[in-house]
Amino acid sequence: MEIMNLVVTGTLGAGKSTFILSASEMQVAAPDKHNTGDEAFFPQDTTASIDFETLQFDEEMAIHIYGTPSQVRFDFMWEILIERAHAYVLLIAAHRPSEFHYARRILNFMNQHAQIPMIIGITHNDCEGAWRPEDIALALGYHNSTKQPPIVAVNTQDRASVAMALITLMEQCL
Amino acid sequence: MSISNIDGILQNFVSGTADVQGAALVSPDGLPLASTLPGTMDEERTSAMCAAMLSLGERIGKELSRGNVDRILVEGENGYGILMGCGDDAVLLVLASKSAKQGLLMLEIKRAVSEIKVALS
Amino acid sequence: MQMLAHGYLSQYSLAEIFNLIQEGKKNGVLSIEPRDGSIDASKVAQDSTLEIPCYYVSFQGGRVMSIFYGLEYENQDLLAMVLERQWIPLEQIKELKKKLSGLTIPWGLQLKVWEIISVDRLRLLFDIQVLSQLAKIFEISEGKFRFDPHAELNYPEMTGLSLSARNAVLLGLRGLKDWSRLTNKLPAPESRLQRASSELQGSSLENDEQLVWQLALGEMSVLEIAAQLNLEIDKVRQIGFRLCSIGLTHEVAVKPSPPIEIVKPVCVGGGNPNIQISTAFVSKLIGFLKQQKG
Repeated sequence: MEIMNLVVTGTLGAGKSTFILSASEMQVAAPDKHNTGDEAFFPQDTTASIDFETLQFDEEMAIHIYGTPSQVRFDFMWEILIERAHAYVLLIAAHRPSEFHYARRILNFMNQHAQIPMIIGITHNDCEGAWRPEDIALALGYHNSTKQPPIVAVNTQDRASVAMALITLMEQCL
Repeated sequence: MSISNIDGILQNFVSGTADVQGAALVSPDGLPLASTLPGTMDEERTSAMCAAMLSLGERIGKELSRGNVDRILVEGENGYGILMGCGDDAVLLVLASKSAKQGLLMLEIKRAVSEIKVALS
Repeated sequence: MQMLAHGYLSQYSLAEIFNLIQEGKKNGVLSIEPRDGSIDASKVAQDSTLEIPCYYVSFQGGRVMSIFYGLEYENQDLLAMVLERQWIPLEQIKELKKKLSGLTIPWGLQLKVWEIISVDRLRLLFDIQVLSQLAKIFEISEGKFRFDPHAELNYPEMTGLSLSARNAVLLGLRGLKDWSRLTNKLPAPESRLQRASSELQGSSLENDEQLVWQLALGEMSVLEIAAQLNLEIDKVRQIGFRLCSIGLTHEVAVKPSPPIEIVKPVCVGGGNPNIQISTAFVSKLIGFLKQQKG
């Protein structure tokens, strides 16, 4: 079994858990035991939740998807997760600019710990007060578009949209 | 590394220890090496969780100045989940029912760990 | 490693065969056909077509799972053994049989996990299946053996309990009553015992065995060890033979040689955290994701 560890991180309310759930629902003929409802490593509502889902897309191939907790005080978990990751997705809620500095912090942290393929997914684009992706890129410190990672809009509830985002990420891996 | 005899050791441990319901040997990066788990449990998932729990536990041990982690114990209303390092290359997960006597269980686990270590070397 | 498929016990001792199986972590069935005093010679002479019962030892990964004694290898159905002891009523046995069939784990293990059989009872069945037979096997001095590596695992008879082949040798030789045929194979009183490794390698030694092993540093003769431990010389020779048989020590004749450096094989574990993902993996995943999009 070849397994890729994927980390989904991001700001509060960006839809990390939903993204992970949508991704795992793509599973080909998901065996029952995968859907026992225990999708959170800890119960969903607790602040310390690490999401974990698997997506098996081939008999011998699967991705394990880990979601980081949002709260700053759990950032030691980022390290644990990123050390084992092959690639990651940073999700940012476009309508919560107050969280952008936090996203930048995550980004810096991840870059320090691992040089691995990544993309930035912008969610909640259709909400009131949503920033435009290019503005968010600037807020994250990307003043030069050639150096920035791919930035894609994602609807985390839509499987196809999540698939698109993952395709962009995988293209980074090639 | 041959795993066929590890299966035998795990089966021997589960069969021969009261209140033990399952066991799995997992690599530190979360891949299953051998397992004898209850039918409803997925080996891959369980392994990934063990690895995540171990690294988290080690981190907590460090942060709280508890030193190196010997074992990690989860006590739920239906029983215990115990993680114990097996050298540098493996972690042993043991599932035991609520009625297990902890001291006795730890003794048996230690015995199994030393047997597995030999088999892995 | 090359595995001996068949031969005579006069060429290879059972301990040697078991050690090979342990080292190679073999699966299969070893059959042993006694050709010695344990068979009534007059009966065999009277009827040349008379079939001789054999011992069949099942191994999984170099561990002894069960031993069967009979004319032909048969399944020693655990459930039948359970029924015989009236631990479970027939009705329930039938039901269990249905639930168990098709499982690819030892039935005994499953019954224990379901809390239908206690550990003590399971151990009793294992004692009957394996431990009580071991000593008998090691009493055999002459006979034919054959190892069939293709024999399938027989889950209905397996308790899940097992014994490493090395510890099986230890137990078998401990239970040996008649040492006379081995007298010339025991370490000589004046030879020295030398440890093969600084570790016990998972062998469960009894107290006396452990003491002898601790002194087996290649400096003391068997005679001196016996004197130091206040044990009979024959007993120390027998212990020495057991330790040599399972590869924990070797007999060094007369002069001590410099200690042998044991180089441990490098462990090739899967514990590499930086496992690379293949291009094939990524391509396949992209293909899969593209289907999801549409």
